[in-house]
Amino acid sequence: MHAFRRARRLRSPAVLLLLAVTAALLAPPVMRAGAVQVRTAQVTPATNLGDQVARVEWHGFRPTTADGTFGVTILECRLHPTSVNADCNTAETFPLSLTGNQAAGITQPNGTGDAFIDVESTARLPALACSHTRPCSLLLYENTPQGFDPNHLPSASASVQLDFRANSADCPPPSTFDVRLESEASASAALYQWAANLCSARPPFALDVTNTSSDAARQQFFLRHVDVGVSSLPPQPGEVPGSAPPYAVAPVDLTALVVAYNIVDPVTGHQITDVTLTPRLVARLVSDSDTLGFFSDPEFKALNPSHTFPAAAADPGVRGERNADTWVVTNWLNGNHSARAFLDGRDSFGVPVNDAWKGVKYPTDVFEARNPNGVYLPRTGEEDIALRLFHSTKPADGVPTNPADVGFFSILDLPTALRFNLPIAGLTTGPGSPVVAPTTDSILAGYEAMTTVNGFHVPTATPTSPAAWPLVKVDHALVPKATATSDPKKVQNIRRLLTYAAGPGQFSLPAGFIPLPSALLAQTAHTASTLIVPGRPVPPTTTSTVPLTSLGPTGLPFLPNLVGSSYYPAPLSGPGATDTPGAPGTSRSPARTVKSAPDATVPFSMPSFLLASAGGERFALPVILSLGILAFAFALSGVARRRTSSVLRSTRGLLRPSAGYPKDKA
Amino acid sequence: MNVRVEEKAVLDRAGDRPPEITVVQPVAAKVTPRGARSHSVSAIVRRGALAFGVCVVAFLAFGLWFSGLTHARSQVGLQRRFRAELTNANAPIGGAIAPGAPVAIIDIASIGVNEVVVEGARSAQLREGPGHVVGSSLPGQPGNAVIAGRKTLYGGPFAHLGSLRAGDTIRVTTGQGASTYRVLGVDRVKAEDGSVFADHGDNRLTLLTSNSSVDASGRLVVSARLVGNAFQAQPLRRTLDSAGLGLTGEHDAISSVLVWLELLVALTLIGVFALTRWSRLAAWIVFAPGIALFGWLVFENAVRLLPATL
Repeated sequence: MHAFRRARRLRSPAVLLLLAVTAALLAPPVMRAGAVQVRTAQVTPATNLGDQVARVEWHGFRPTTADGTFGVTILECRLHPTSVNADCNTAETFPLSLTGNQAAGITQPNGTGDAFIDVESTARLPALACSHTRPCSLLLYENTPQGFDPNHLPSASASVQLDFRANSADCPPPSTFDVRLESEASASAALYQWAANLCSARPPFALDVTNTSSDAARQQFFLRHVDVGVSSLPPQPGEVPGSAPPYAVAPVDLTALVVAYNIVDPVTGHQITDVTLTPRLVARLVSDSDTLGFFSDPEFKALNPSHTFPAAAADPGVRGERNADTWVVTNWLNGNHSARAFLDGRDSFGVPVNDAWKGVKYPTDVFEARNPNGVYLPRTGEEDIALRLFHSTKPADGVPTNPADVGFFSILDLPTALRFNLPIAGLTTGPGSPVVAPTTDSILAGYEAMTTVNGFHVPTATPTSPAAWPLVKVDHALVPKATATSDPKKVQNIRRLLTYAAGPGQFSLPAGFIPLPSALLAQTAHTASTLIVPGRPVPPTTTSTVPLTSLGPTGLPFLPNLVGSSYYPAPLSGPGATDTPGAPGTSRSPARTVKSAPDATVPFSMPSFLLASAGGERFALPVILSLGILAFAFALSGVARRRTSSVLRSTRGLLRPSAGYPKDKA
Repeated sequence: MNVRVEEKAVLDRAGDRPPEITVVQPVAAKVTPRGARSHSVSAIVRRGALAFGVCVVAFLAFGLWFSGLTHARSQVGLQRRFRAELTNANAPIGGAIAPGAPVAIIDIASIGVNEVVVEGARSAQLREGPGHVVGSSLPGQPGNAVIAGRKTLYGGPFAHLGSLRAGDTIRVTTGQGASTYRVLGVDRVKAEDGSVFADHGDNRLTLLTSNSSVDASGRLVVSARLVGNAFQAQPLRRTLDSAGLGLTGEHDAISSVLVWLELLVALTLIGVFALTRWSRLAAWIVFAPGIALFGWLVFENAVRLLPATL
């Protein structure tokens, strides 16, 4: 009974405590439920961005009506914009301008929506100059009939921050360049990233990258207009003038070419992401052979039976300048029996080849507009081709076309296709044969099938393994050999660049590149080690300190996009993507690599406050232990005091038995 | 109230003196009667402090002993799983490795460490054994491979790291093969020192643990260099996980602690109430296991709040 009374006395505070804790735990969800009217947006990826396509989703917006009211516009802006005109990129979209990237989306009845936007960093949008030290943001707003004052912000809007990785805008302006380099377009993504990393190294290294083509790079290198040329292919016979410097070859990256596309199923309205092509079909596209009827091709229909395709295909997006990609693709077409037969007019499916391309001599390093009809138009620059594909614009047009009406194909390099999040066609040799996609494994298998010509690694026309991606390429740096008359500073700088490329650079590659296999790393390391000016002392290994950045594809999911001119996801595993952990293919044999000459004590890019234990966790255990000891001491002190007093009392009683007794009155 | 009456009987052999009975005034004894305890504030506080002290002792027992059992059990499961993966050649060597997946076996003969290393070095992963810090190289591959482990709790696999000397051997086995590292040195570094995670231009292994058994204010770092050549580098995540560097706890464990604490308090109150209605034995049999279980869960989640390498 006493215990019950005791318990009852304790009950009220205990119940209050219980209620308080429950309230504390339940409060957040209740508050969140009441906040549904707030407009929010998220972007994927939100950090480590470069020039790439990102996916933006929004919640809490008003649903778009059938006539387009409350459609959502997405703009790239400075970090805290106050005025749309002054702080946001409102340029017309491609192709009306080169920098316009506003995107449009539709809000579903549940208040959510999503779209893809081509995020631009400083190099493409100097007006906003988005970089690692200067984050930007996306502004999403509803289009209302009354509009808004463009010198302020619209009211029905949400914004989300964009954090960029280091790019050239974070570099201090160089007074001179340590190495001037001209490069094939496929290597330029890696080289721009390396330049951005190296400019903040200690000592700083200024790398100037000009992005053109393999042919132009070789030419400029042989004319000594640049220090290093990056080319995928060896020089053609007769290309090397007598005045050219003697050179050595150092591979810098391994990547691939792909056929990317932009096609929407006109019946379902969804993006198509699983197209398969054969060399014959690619030959049909690049030879402008009835592209309007492309989707009715019997082999195409046999390989892609599960979708409805648009009524016609557009002329393909191909590069017009002399470049290595064209050579690799035409070499592949030439080596395939049925593609060659098609080009010679002997197609097994009976489709006639365009007369202007009949019997065309492949391989070649330039796609020519052999029948100038004004529609088939190879264009200059990899980025132009990619932007046209992203914005579903035909090569010769100035306005986009709905990709549900016309299907678009382009030949691009893998880094660019991944950057723009474009679907990539699987390749096969015919119906019934295995379909290969560009993954780390298939590209490495394709690399194994390459042949070596004068230090250059060249893809063969037909790799023997059906699991090998046929369109692989290695980008090589042509570096001048060190002679007695070389400028020793220049030689040292090139050596430092190659050492970086074979070392930390391989861990700082954007999506679409495979880290160099050991044989290629060894070749680059060896070339670097030969860069010593004879008769001069070997310069000490420069301890350059370079931040390591981590890059990888975004892994954006496939999304249906109902507005015609935006983007699709490439469900692709590029390097750095989710490789099947430990699949036997990812390590051939445990090959031992020779680590190239170490020159880096690399500090890393995490701010020191994140390293220490944030908050007071380190004090938790000592505090708890001290409190426990004190509590015990306090509690036991009471017990001790009572025990001691009772002991004292009883001993007192023993010692003074006469206390209280009357004296004996004898 | 008891009254002490002292009776003094004098036996007078002479016979005629009557015995004298003296009644002594009752001593105002401050003996509290059984069953009627004082409700004074100090008594309640004292009892509360005793209870708190007992909880802390229980927590210490959990941390120093029971958690070691959890760790031993996890290691048995991990050993079995990892050895099966090694046999089938599908141990993870690159790419995106799931946190908690076994990636290596570390063997330091001189201090008797033989543990399976899991991927990730957050508090939850370090419960099971040493953890590979995400963002660093994998052991055996080029670069700096960083492995963090606990010093006190959950078996303290890295408790004796401080007694390693330069020249000691560390053997690490991954899906790519076995690598041997030779210890370069043992340092105590401040928490803000990031050079332990950096690439030093060679192939090395860095082992981390807390610098003290109680207060994780810095790191104890063992650096070791690879003997021989490295295996083929694989694509890996290269950004360090800021919550997995060994000195932070998992802050979101606080909600788990609160939930289990609430349930523990509720069950205890019900148990106390039951004590008044049922027999003591019945109440103990019914409620003690549940209270012990919830107490265990509270402690386990509370340990997640502590620095991960403690």
